[in-house]
Amino acid sequence: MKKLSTFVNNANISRFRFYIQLLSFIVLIYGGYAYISIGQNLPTFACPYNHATAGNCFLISLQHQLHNSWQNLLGFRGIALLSAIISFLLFFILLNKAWCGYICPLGTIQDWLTSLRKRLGIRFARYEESTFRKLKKVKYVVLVWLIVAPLFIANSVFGLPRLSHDFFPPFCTICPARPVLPLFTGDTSQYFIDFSSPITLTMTALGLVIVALFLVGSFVKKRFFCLFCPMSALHYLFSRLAILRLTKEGEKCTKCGNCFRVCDVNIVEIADDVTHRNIVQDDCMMCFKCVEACPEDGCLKVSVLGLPIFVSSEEGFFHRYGPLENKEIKDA
Amino acid sequence: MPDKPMVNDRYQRMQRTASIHLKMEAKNTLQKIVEEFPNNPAQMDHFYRKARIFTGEEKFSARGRHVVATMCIHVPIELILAAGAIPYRICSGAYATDQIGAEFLPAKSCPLVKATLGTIFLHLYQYDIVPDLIVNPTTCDQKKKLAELSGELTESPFYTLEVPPTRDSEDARIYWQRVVKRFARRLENLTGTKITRRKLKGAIRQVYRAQVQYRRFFNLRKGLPVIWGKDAILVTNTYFYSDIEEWTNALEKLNGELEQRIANTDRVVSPRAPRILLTGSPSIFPNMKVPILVEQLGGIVVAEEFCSSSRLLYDTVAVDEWFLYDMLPAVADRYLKPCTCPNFTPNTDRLRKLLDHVREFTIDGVIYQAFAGCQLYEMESRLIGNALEKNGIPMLYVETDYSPDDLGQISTRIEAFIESLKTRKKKKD
Amino acid sequence: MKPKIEIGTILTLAIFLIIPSVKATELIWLSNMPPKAVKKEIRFYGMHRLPALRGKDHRIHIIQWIRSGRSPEFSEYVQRTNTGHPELFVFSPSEEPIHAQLLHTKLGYLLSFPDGEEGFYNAYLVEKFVHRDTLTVLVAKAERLSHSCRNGHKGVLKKVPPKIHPQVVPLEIVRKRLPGENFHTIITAGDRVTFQILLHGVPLSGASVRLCTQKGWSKQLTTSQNGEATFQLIQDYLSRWQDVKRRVFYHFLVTVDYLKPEEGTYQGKPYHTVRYLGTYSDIYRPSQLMYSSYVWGLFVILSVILIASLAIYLYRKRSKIEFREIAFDEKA
Repeated sequence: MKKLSTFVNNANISRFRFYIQLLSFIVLIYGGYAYISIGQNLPTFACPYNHATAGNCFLISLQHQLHNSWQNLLGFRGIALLSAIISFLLFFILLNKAWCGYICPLGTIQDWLTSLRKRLGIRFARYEESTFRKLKKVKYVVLVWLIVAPLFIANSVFGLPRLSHDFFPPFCTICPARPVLPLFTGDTSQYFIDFSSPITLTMTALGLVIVALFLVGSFVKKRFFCLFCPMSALHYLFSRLAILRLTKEGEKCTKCGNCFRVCDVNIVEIADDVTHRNIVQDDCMMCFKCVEACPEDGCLKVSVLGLPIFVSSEEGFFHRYGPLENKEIKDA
Repeated sequence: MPDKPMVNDRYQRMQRTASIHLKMEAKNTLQKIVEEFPNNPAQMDHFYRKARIFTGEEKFSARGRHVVATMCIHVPIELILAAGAIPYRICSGAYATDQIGAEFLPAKSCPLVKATLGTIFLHLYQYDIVPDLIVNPTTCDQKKKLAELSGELTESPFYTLEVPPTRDSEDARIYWQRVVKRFARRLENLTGTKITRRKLKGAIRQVYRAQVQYRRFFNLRKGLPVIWGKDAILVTNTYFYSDIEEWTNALEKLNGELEQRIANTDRVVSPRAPRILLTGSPSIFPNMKVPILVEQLGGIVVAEEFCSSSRLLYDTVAVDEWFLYDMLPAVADRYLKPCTCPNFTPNTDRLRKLLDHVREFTIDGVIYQAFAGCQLYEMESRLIGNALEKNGIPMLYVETDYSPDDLGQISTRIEAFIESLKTRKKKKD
Repeated sequence: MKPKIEIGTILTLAIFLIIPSVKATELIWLSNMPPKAVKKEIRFYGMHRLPALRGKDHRIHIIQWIRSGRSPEFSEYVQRTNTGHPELFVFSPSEEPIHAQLLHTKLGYLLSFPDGEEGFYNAYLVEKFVHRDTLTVLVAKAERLSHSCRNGHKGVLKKVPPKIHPQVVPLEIVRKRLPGENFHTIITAGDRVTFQILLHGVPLSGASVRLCTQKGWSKQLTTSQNGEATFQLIQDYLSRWQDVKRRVFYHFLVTVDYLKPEEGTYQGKPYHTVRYLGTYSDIYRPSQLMYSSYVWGLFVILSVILIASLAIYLYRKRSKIEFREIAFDEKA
């Protein structure tokens, strides 16, 4: 048992993550060809605009469920909405935000762009902390938009005129996954600008601008889009219910900042917060690179139902970061 | 020896006498360390030999490489190694040079600063080599002024490494990263060697190797007392001026021996001996007054929270992308973020670290060493003392300096402290 | 190949000679489109916007207006069929017969049946009557897809293929499914749609099939050996991009007319010829190509990528924060 845990703690989780990401990318993007259907309410960007998708993103079903009159929502549609949320939660609590770090195909694409940039030797961008704090709020704004807009499309609120149906689905029209993911099954049909009304014109153009920014942004900035992702915001609301957890024992932390340095999403708290045990922040994607980079035994811990499965350790750190008998030392 | 403004008869006389005093001092301390204690590990011989550098019995050659002298623990060694230079730390613990430095500094100055100034003035470096660059981080006020004063006294160029006064803020980090990058440029200019990806990565890994052994050594001391604290302090002291590879290999051998000792339960002292944590102003060879006293009087130093030991080597560099754009800031961060030097404010992390050490090393009592004139440690002692008291850990505050005059006085106090710890321990059992 | 003159072809030609004599027959078809006067009182259900009423049993009832004419736009909303007592057959997606009703309401003359499961409902209105030695068999067919994404997409593959009911309806117009058709498929202008005509379940070759779009454009074809006729739907009006009503559903109407010499009596009246008349209506939308542009999409994406990359490049070059002021040569 001890041998096994040492083996896991010394393992290169990033490499493991790469393969898991690749696998889930293939399953989610091409699974439809093999008649795989995982569910309608997946807590990740499995985009149904991709015809071979193996499941549906919860956000699109949420938008559809909310696109209902008040009386419907209070009636049986409300029950359907509730059951959709419950099914989302059942999926979510298994993996917590690791859905982002390990499963999300859009996140995987961003990671691939990052390794492409690395290969080219172009340095990454980092936000200043104040900019970061401002930008990270955007995802909540998007979340509110995607919840409120369908209601406003289907209902007249306070006697205001209803929102045009051309906005629907309010998030998918601006989501980069809609044009990007179908590309992998050779479908370029989402790259159009719809001139049929000023709203569709604006929304489709905005959608394409966002795709372009997504491509450029995630090339220079690690996990660029995740900062704005409403799914991430939604995850965070329920993060405490999940069985997979990332905890930190503050007493053991020397604040060396290794975890912050390797963090793809700029979370300062992972290094500086020594009081809270549950260290998962709203931007966290649970890639566990921080656990890899932590040289303190048992300071950062990944656990399932309180059972530690991957724990930071000194031995593991040096295993991953410093191959000890290294030729390069002699070369240098 | 190059020309100097003050090379005259008086200077040469001073240099001669101070050199003799330093050798005697080093010899005496070493004798105490080696001969007055039983059961020293055989592998300690390497480190004893290294300490003989002060007695002139051990020589060193730079083999044509540039030599960069550093002070404090804020100077990124990795960069110096990557630039192909030899780093060595010149913070001094010698009473002989302390007296020389006292000539130039106010009476109530810190002996470490005085001794270091004396070293610089008289060129009594560990090796007989005049550094090509002296890197002076702006840590405490006295160290800050040291560079200005020594500028008059030596021809070695000084480089001021601007350490920010705080380390938690983003601004401080960015500022410090910039300082470190500028420093890297300066080193490149000095040695004429470019700091490349491969070289810096190699240097980082070279330090990793040392850290692996140091951390192993550090963790070994959490259990059975198999090595005296005075030896442990000497081990980290020799890191100041040793070749890093050589030091690492020697420590690896020592660790092997200590592990063997643990397996054989070959203790250096009875388990009843109170386990002491030393903290505060650093004990640097040959100033080993307090640790030697503690261990002669029946205690055992199992951990030190000094800038000459755990703070020096414990924390690691982590790099996400092995390119200069990430490695340089990563190296910079490692010297800023986890550093518990009291020149930073706030410095609550030092307290957290001490409490962690108390738990991890099953500490019975803490001895807080503050050099007379070392304001920062003197001031922090209050906060630390209160917090330790709250946690039920007795602390002895010892104000001392490099002179042997107060030996009697502090030995009485330490003796009383250790006795009280022994009684406490008995009661607990 | 030997040219083969089939009896069917000859008879088709004969239709034109006979038409004047049977003109009294109304060409009845089932329509989704409410009369303009009551349009506001109707609610539409599901993705395919089926006109629906909530019945006394609180279930949704899909309604179809009974209309007569050859062009969807100009067909009349009739108050009575040819005989006044047609037979109704409605089959659920799982091929269970459903009880349907003919209603005279203030909304018009309607066929109504309750909605239940997801999928294609086949509704038939069958009339038989003898007039001047000819038995007319009129089959008005509507295939209506009841689908709302909120109900999920279970068993789409099984439910999409067309179903026929030769045991109750002699003449069947079957719309062949488009490639990759699913619950979300809506026929658009430009699509090639194939219809197969089955008489008593057997493909009927040589029958004349006519397709008429909303605005009256029509085309007539004769069915092939296996009873098939393929039409390409056209966009039957010209407009500027912004005038295309992309969300509007238009109707097309398919009619088949086939004469067969056959002796017999029906309700005591003898006849020598049987005339099979079939109608089938479905919805279509303007083609996306009419109002959207891929060129503009490409232009927007490329220009944003270019501008953003340039901006990042210049920012990195000029800016003085963090990584900027000292650049190291990565390749050295």
